[in-house]
Amino acid sequence: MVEQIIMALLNGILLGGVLALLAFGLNLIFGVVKIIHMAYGQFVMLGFYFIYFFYTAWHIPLLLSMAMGIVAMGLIGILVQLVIINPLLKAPRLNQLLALASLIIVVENLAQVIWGADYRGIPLTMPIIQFGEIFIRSSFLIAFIGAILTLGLLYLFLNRTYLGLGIRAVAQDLEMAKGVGINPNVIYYLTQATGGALTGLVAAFFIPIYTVHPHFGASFTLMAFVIVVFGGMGNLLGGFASAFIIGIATSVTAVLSSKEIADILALVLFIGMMMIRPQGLFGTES
Amino acid sequence: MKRLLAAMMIACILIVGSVGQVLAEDKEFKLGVLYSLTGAFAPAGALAGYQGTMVAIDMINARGGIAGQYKVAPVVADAQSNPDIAIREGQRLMTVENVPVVLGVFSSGIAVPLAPMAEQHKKIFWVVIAISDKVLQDRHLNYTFRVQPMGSQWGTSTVSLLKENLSKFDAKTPADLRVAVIYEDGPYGASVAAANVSKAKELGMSLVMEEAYSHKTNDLSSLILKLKSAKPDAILHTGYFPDVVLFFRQARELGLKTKAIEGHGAGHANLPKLAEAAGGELMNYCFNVDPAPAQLLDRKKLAPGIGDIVGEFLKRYEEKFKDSDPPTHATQGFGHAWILLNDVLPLALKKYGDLSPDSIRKASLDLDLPDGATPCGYGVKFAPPADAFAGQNIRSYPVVAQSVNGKLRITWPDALKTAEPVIPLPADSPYGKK
Repeated sequence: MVEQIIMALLNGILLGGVLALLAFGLNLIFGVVKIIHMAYGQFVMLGFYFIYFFYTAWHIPLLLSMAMGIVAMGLIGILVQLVIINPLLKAPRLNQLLALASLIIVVENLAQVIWGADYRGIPLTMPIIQFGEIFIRSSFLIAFIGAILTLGLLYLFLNRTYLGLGIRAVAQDLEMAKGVGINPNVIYYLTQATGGALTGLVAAFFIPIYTVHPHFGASFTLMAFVIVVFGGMGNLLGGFASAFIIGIATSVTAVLSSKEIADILALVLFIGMMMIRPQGLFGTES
Repeated sequence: MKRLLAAMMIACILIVGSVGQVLAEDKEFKLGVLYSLTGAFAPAGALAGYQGTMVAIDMINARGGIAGQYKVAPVVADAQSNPDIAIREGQRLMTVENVPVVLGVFSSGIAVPLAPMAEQHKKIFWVVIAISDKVLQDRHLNYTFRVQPMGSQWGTSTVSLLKENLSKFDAKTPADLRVAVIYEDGPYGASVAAANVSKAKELGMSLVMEEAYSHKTNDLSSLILKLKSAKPDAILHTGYFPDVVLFFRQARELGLKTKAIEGHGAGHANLPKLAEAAGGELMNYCFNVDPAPAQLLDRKKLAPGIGDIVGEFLKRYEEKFKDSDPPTHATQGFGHAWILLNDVLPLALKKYGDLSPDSIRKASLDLDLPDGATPCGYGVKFAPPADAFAGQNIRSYPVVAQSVNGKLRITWPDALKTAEPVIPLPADSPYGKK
């Protein structure tokens, strides 16, 4: 039993890494552009399809296909800002939500028309990492390392570059940022490109774990929302911490009771947080 | 004068004949076809079932229609893998489109609520793929019929394979055999799992684990950790497609070892797609319990003429959908629709004079086809309304097939067996003990 719990803890930490990676882009976009990207999971799905397409149809090496998928999703992020977000920037919050919710249907149906309803996957044989009776999932380990590196790079980008400073300035006080000469539109495009690229990155790390289909994104959108709101919307560190809390709690609970109870627990934790601390773990009251 | 009369009579006959032909050509039978053409169930088998049904309709129409009189006009609706939408579409077909029969449905979660609706509207619900016992059990429905075997029969086939191969597991008695049952928690998974558990207990096997999960889950590692701890000889797994792929991939990475893995249709049924998505070596030597796909049937053992129907189906399916190795759901979509269009409806017309839901209901209950008389291999006899499983075909059964290096072989029952089962999983399987 002790061995089982140790493995559950390890799995929870790795799962937390994967969930943290998922939450980064959503958090960043909310923090800066102040819109809730309802179709975030669907963009991960789109990124998955792009990589799959580059790899299987154009026979581009996998790593290069992944890089191209990340770039493609960055461009899609800019397109979304141009076509959907910009006209709605000053619209009521409900209009923004409805437009982005409609994007879910558009993206899912577009994927269905282009790639069909079939499940698609790239069969990758991942190495088995074993220490005695303890097995560590290499696919999740890679995603975990990716999450740590991504958070580190994002931190450096936001804190050590002028562009990052601009993003933070717009996130903290739009009018003041304008006053010191920052063009918020440029920052919005940059943020959407980064958020889009992050969906491509998540998709790249998901390749060895999942198969994709047009409705693949829905459960990830929900999970990303739970993590982001739990940690405090727009707070990258909060999202990172909540991903690990939810990952470890559900993983250990699933071993001690059942997977179904663990799924309930994740949402009970979320509801509890909303009741006790509506602004989330690391959020500040507005 | 006589010549003139004869010429006029011939002309009349020709005119009446041609008018009759025109009328016959105009006669059509509106058939409601309800499958999940989009959403998660589509690639898991619903789309293949739909395609099989459309081939059956093409073949009947190419033969002049039902009993050579009524062309089949399908009214297709997309359930979108969503029970709410399925109910809305089912209701539309029954009331707005006013079709006498709604045929289809892949998911038991959709079939369970749709059956009482058919009863309410007095329209035939012809269940093609969904297998949950609960679609029919203790409901005494008059208008729902299912040619497909039901979930509890999956239990019998699954556990019978284990029981008949105890020595291969190094088990002297059934009690020596450690069995784990894992399943998606919808009506389909729960129904099959209940049958597996009940049959395994009935035979005295040791049930070491029983656990459900949502088929939408993103992680099965905790379940696999528990399986490792339970050390089962055989894992009986009922799931849809993404969760089956997730299970195989994570089980390999977490070092799960066992002697046999038996799946139950749906996610386990579409081997070429599984191999394409996850890699063929992961499901090599795994079993799948399902009605036999048409290409695996020994056509010589079928009733005269049925082998040719199967051959034509496979040829047309390949021409239309570019697939020479259709999944079992395609056979179910074809064969079960064929039985309705080729056997039940002509009988209703001949014996009861029309194609109303009540005539079709009576003809369905009259139908009596022996083993080998349908393109699915099994026969047809529906349980009467007084039976606990009223409307269920009591002559259908799933077989146990094993995938070995990309080829499916029937390993149970003996009557249809084409190869001995490979048990335990050999060392070249990721789950076989080295």
